[in-house]
Amino acid sequence: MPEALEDDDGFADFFRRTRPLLTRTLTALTDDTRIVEDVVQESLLIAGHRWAEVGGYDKPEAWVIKVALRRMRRWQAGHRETTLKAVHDVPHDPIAQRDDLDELLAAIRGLSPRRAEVIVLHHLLGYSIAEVAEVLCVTENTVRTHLSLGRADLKARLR
Amino acid sequence: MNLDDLLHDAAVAIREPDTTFVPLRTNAETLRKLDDDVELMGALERAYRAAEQAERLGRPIDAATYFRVAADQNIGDAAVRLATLLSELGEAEADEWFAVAEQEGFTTFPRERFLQHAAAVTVGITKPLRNRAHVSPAEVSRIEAATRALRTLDRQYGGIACHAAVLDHVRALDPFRGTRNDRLNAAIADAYDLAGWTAFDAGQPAAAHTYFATAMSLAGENTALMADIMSHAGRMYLHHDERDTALQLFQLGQLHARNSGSAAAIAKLTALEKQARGCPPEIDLTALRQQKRVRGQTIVLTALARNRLADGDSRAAAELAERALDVSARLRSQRANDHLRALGEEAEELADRIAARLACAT
Repeated sequence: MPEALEDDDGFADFFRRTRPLLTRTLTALTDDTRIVEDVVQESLLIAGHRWAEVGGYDKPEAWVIKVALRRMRRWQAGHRETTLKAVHDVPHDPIAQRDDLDELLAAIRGLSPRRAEVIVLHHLLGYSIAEVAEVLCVTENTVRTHLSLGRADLKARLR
Repeated sequence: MNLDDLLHDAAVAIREPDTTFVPLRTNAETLRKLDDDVELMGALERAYRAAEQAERLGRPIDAATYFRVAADQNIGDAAVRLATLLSELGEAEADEWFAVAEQEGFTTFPRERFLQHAAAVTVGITKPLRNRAHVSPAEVSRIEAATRALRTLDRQYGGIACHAAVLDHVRALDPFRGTRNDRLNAAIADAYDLAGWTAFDAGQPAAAHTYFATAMSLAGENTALMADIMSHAGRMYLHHDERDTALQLFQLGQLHARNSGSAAAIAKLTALEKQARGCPPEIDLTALRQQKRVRGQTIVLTALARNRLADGDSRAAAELAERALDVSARLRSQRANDHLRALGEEAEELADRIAARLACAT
């Protein structure tokens, strides 16, 4: 276990808050639980290792999400054929407990990856357009375009 | 339940705390790899930010250099921004990056919104920029003459040979964009139209879109010029065999031609509309002989050679092909090359068919 978890400079608290959030966020983007688990582990591990710096950021959570999204995309690019669609191994999953929310997540996963990312970051995590643009390294206009196209697509899928 | 309520409930659920304790598993090797990866990610993001900064400071070449690094490693929308910059700089490399960007799920202006833009300028939704720079009528005449000279060079030597010169011309006109002087505005729009046309002829369709779109925005109420631009843009689509888009552009062009009252423009667009619907182009041989349009002659001679070939008259086809090659000796045109290549392929096919028939006969 990394040192950061032992001395309490805020990481233990951050870890407890962020782990379920990160797991659910990634689950909204892919149903490959193997990727989600590994990426969550790795992203929090590196956050703990660099906590002296990351803990000082305005929004450490956004940094971890940025790392996680990038690692997830890399993972998916390398393992396209072996997607594992398994039962969600999330200890406490408030989304799976409601059919309509589960349906919403399935619809989000059906969107193109670009649209799904902005929908999840903006609507589920509550990030502003500027924050989403920062996390994804895109312009605010691109975020707006993908948001409006994503919402329209989502409505059509849920109809 | 509507979408917003659903999204709201999901947003609440996603942040619900979880008391389950899950330990982090690790070893030194994994951590070292992760550390390297995060370092690399940081460096690439800094390249992306440096590119943004250079772009803001008006240093597009530096910006392209940094964006290229970020785009090569799939950072955000770096591929889109690099492609846009390169197409503004007139670099052929732009098209590769537009393709990468589209593959990564980004929509790029030229391909997706071009027709929409053409339609919007036709009904006057977009307003041209306004600028107060003063230019004398003599200066405007000089600009018009320069564009005409470049257009002549394009017809004789092809877009590849003169696209760079056209871009220099267009860049020199940049400070006057959005002027209130209608004649100057038309001169600038015309220069952009030529930039689009030469980019297309030089084999850079994505860059060509950007120039045509700018030309349309600048042409404003000059209906004759707008008809010209639409017909050029449409011919680009026709060349790439996207007949539906070509036809729609010709139809928009026809609206402008009718408004301008020019019988020649109406006739030209009517002929192009027929061509987009699949009718073969009408070729006027007498007019062709009088023309100094090397590229036009090359393309027509090639088309005639292909017709003869299709009829099975390979001797006449060979003569016409030779004339086309003679005429085109100094031509640098991707479009003419495409036609000549198609002729070559058809000739090979014919040779194969004859060889096959001979093989069966013996």
